[in-house]
Amino acid sequence: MARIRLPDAALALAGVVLLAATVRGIEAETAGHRVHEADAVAFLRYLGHSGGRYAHVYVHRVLDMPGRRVYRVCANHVAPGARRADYRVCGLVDRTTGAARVVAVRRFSLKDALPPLLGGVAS
Amino acid sequence: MSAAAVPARRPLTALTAVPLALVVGAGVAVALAGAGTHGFLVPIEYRGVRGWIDGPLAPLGIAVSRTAFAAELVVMTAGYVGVLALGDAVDERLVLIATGALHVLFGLAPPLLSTDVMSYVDYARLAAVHHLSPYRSAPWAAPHDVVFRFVHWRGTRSAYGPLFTAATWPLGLVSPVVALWVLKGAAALAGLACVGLVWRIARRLGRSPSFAAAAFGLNPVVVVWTVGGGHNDMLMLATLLGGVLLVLERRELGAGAAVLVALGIKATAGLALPFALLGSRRRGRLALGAALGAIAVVAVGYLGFSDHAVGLLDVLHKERLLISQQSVAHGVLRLLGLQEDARTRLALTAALAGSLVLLVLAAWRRRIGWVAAIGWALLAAVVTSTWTVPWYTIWPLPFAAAARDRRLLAATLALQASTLAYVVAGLAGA
Repeated sequence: MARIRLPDAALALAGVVLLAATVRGIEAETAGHRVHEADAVAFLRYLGHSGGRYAHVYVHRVLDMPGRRVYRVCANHVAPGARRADYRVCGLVDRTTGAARVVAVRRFSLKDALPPLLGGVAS
Repeated sequence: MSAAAVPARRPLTALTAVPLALVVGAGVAVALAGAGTHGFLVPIEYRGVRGWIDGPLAPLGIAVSRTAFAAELVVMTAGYVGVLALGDAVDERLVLIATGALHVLFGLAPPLLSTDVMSYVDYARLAAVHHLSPYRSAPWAAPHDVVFRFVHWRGTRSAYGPLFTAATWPLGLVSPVVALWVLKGAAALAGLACVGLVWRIARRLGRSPSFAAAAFGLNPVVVVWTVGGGHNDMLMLATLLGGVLLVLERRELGAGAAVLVALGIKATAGLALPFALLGSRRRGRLALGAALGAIAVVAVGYLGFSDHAVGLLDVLHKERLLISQQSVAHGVLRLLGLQEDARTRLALTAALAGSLVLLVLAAWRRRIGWVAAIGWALLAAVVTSTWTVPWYTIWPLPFAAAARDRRLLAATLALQASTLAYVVAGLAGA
């Protein structure tokens, strides 16, 4: 009967821990995506529809302090009939109580963000 | 006799060709997907699609969905595992052709799955154009710069060694287009140099060079993320592997200098120094070479950036405070219900220090080969950090491949599999 060597056993144990950590991590990530979708919806509802549409909505968690979960949500606004976004809004969504609540919104122009020299290299 | 050998070789060649064709075929699909898909594959272009970023493969680009890209990655990985399963039966010529083709292809692809290469360009421009030290000033110091909008880590000062920062300084004087493609080309050439060095080191150690070259040069994380992303990890590894080969060739003076030059590119390489000392026959000469290399690194750092380069240590400390979902340390802490705080970080640092001490002892008592010990040390550095990105997982790979340490290879590939699982799950679920 083949003997099990200690290094191989240790490596196998580390593999099991790695597998468990990966599975748990991916589960947490997937759950995070669901939370993010809810936040994006709440954020867009808060912004309302004053004409145009919001494109490229993306969310990422910025704070995960004990008892407080705050997410950062951004969206590009596309004016009616336009093909490209004219401004971007970013906000913080606080999910501490379970219900999403937008706590702050920053709005800034994509055009203003363009570096003045960009035309020199942009094709 | 030779006539008998030919028919024996043919089935092996044909057998090798199948998984190799999978790796290359899926690799071509991934590279063309990168050239045709803006956004998640070429994150620089989140802030604006540019022809000069898309590069020479743009006319051949094929736009793909996230799921299709995940499937291409899975096929490429399956082919790679198939090549490894063949062991010594891999055909040398086919391996070299496939490795060369993939490195050229991903060298020509747009910067994939990372924005770091634009940080390199921005740091060069901070120094050369704006006369700011990238060790004291982050990209935010020059928000009007032409490449600023393509940089993701805008508040982060340079975490790279003074030799890399000094060598890339002239790239700040040329157009960002030239700078980007010089860095991409350098990553591809350094990758090919790594393959050649792994080949020669494996031969010196009496291992199969073709297996070693295939294990490193066809690895999806090596070609897609590291060459594709234009990361300087390839330059660091090529220099470090050069040092390892010099130790094996008993050219210790050059070996010591090479290890320190690698450290001057990226500090991680410094972990290899004690093992190179243990592996060399003339340790005094290696130490002398390392001392000369250290003088060169300090001189370049001081002449180029005054005493600011010391700020690199602060940036590296802050990087270890970052958390990525893919980190093994983060995953294990989460599994245990713990969070990253002062105590757990101290425990992780102690685990790394303890691992290094044990490895030095094991290499000293010759219970483990010194080349493999370098790989284990680099693996320990990745596993105990809460900040892991896919291209960090290639650090131990050339040493595992060249020394053909099956446990190290298994551990490195398990780490990469975990990282890829996050990527694939993220792509499929996004």
